[in-house]
Amino acid sequence: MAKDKTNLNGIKRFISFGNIIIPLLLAFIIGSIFSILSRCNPFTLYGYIIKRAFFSVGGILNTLGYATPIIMTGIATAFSIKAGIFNMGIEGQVFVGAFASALAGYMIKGLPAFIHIPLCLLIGAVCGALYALVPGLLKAKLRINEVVTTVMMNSIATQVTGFLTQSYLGTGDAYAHTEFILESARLTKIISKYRCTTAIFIALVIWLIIYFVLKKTKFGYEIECIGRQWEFSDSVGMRVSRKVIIIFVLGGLIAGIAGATEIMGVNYNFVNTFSANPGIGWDGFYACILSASNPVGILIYSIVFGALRYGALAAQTWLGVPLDLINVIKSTLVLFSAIKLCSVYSEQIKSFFSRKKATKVAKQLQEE
Amino acid sequence: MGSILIQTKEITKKFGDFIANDKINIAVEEGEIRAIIGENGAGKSTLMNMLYGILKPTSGEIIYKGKPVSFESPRDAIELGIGMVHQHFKLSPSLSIYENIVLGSETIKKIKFGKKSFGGVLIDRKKEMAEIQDLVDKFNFNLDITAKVRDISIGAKQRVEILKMLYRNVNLLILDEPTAVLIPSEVDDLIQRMQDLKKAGKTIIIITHKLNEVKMCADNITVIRGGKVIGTVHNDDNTTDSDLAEMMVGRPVLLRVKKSGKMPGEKIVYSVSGLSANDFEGKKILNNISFNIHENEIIGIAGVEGNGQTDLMLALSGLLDISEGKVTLNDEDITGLWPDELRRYKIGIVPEDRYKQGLCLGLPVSWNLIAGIHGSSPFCVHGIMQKASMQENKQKLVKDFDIRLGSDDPAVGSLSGGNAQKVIIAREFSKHPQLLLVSQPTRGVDIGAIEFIHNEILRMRDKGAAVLIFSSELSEVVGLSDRVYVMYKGEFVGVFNSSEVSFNELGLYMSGVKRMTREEIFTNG
Repeated sequence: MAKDKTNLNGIKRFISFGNIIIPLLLAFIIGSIFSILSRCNPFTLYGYIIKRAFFSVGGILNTLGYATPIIMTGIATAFSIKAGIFNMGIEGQVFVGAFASALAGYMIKGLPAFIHIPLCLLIGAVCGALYALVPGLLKAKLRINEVVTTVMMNSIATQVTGFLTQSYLGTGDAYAHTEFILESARLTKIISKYRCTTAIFIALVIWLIIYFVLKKTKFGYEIECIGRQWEFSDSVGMRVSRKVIIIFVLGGLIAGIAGATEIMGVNYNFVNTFSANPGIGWDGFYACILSASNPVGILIYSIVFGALRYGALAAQTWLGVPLDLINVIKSTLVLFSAIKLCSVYSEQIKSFFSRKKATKVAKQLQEE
Repeated sequence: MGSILIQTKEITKKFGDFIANDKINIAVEEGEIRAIIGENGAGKSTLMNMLYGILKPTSGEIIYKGKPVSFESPRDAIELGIGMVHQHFKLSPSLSIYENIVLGSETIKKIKFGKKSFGGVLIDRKKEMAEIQDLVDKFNFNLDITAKVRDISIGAKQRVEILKMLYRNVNLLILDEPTAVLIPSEVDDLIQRMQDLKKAGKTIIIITHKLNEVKMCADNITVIRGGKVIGTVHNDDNTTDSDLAEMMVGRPVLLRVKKSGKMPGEKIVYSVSGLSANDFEGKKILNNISFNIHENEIIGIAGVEGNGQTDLMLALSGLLDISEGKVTLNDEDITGLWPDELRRYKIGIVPEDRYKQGLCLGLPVSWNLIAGIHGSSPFCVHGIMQKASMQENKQKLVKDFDIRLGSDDPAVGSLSGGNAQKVIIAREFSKHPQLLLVSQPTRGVDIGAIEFIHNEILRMRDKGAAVLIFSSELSEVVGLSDRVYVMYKGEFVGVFNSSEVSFNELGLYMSGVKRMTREEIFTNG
């Protein structure tokens, strides 16, 4: 009996492992097809990306630089998804945070760096949080579906910031951008020519705090309950509507910081394309979905996505493979993970294993 | 009595490792009313679902009219003449009664061209209505077949469900817990209808756990326990309720609650005056509700489901806004407080739907046992959860309240109904409440656990608590309480001393036939 149980656990582990590995394989196979179509040996491509992203100090720093905002947006998404709230508006909140800190970076003058930097971060965070407050209030007070409102508000954020950059706040240059932020508002780079800045530490601290909050605190306990069953949570006195607002605001806060660090560490001014396509908010969302909101998983996937972002850029330059190929891989990865093939066919897998065991036993009996 | 109509041979159903039905042999004769009784989870419904083609047996066979049969779906069963009425009705509220009955097997009008006729697309309403009116008259079903289903009473809905089966010409009718939702007079009527059907040659299998009703209608009674047939007895004067209960549970049980001699005190603990509330759209759902509960007193609220009991419970537990009125606890105003604030006043709340509001199914027992008090010491110190004291608390409560867990700290969703309810009872009763708001304490709970829960409630009363009980089981409300209020359409329409009132009298008030004036309620209450 005990042996049977370990066997069953083994199968369960096999299934959850398969749920991670099979989508990866399928995504890379489909990526390979497109890689071949763009006349590049897929193995060369993947090898090149891995080599560029991980096998030099500069590569690692660039990868981490690209991963930094994704860690933040990923953990911000996880925070709300754990509570059963589909806050798809992280991208919009990133934009608002980035835009606000870009303005604060050049408009506020004459401050020393140790005040100017935190101030810009704070302004970005608060603006992101305020932007998230709107769908939060709509959901908590009027029960309006948050997916609809947040997705719509993403468009509003990207379009309005883009418009303002082109018109009132632009510089009149050939491409639309705001003025460069002052030196006193810029984050320090770890090594000057690579992407990674001190923002990585901010990201890691935020990650640690959220991890601790989710695992250990009363608030984490309540989020777990609300995410599973909000009626229960309401009835035992967790004041779900109020918590919903808090969760939205905290998510927006982190997203705002993510946007601010991108401006203050990498771009130094606001351009409408700073977040690339798909944006860092969406990469965080993917990382969260792929790791089922597990904080450690988010950290790992953020770094993988960072590597893909950087590696793809390098591959475009040196191998002539279009950047969009990486988006194909990322999207198929999310798609196949959503299917969870191994869980769908779990019965068949179980019966396959038990049949194999049965033939084994039969064989043994025959030999005896 | 005729020949054997349906028979199972060694029929077994497994769900994974769990054996729901273990080699069950039963044989039902033609024209018989057979009761299948057993506790929740004994396997009654599994067995019936196999007879009706919803589930497929793992092994064994079903023999119908002498021939082995196997069903792919309920449709096959109905074609052979086996029909089932489920506990939860499957009717479309916006259609009329006769439309519901014919749904899925409508009569199509024939189109005539000269001498030839073709199947058309139009429904022959006149013919359908005539056929159904005949059926209604034949069995005295007393229904206006053109009325919309949403406007008719629950008892009438049940008759519609039965008619649905009769229209499809079934010989064997399976009724799953048919009396669970009915008021006493409707139960009597149902039993009368069953006798009529029997006279017309139909065979009936009724699944239930209410012993007194079984005694009133069944010819033979089969008892199932733990997926096995314990025995089949002929229903005559020699079989008593307590014998049957003992067969169901496997040990002697107390069927009546034993109240202590302690009388309710003078001091008013909980007082509600003039309470009204509106729903989300602004419609009044609770109207001017007033009552007091003294120490050592249990107040029961009786009523047909859907007459505002759910809303009253929500309003009192802080989940529905109170538009007018005042609620006090020991003369302190607690109107409109949040559920967590109410809990701080030592109010224990056992909500109506334990799987939605009472428990978080995916989380372990130890987590569920602290919900509501999770923010206070010793479970939470400076905002950080204390896993060790959660475990300690779980061990203590599991022992005190005899909660049976399969493993060390399983998810609550894996517990049986009785044990799941005990988790809530343990959580709410262990903090020494001065007021208990209890809704449906024993719904879907097995007899053994019912006895335990009733005793716990009475123990709290004797310790001085004020208790308010809502239940759709009339015997439970009356049996436990000192006074009972009747609710009808969001209002109190009567109040009685529980030891003096008869079920039939209560039934008249519950169905709105009789009502007391506001002054009468005030002076009697």
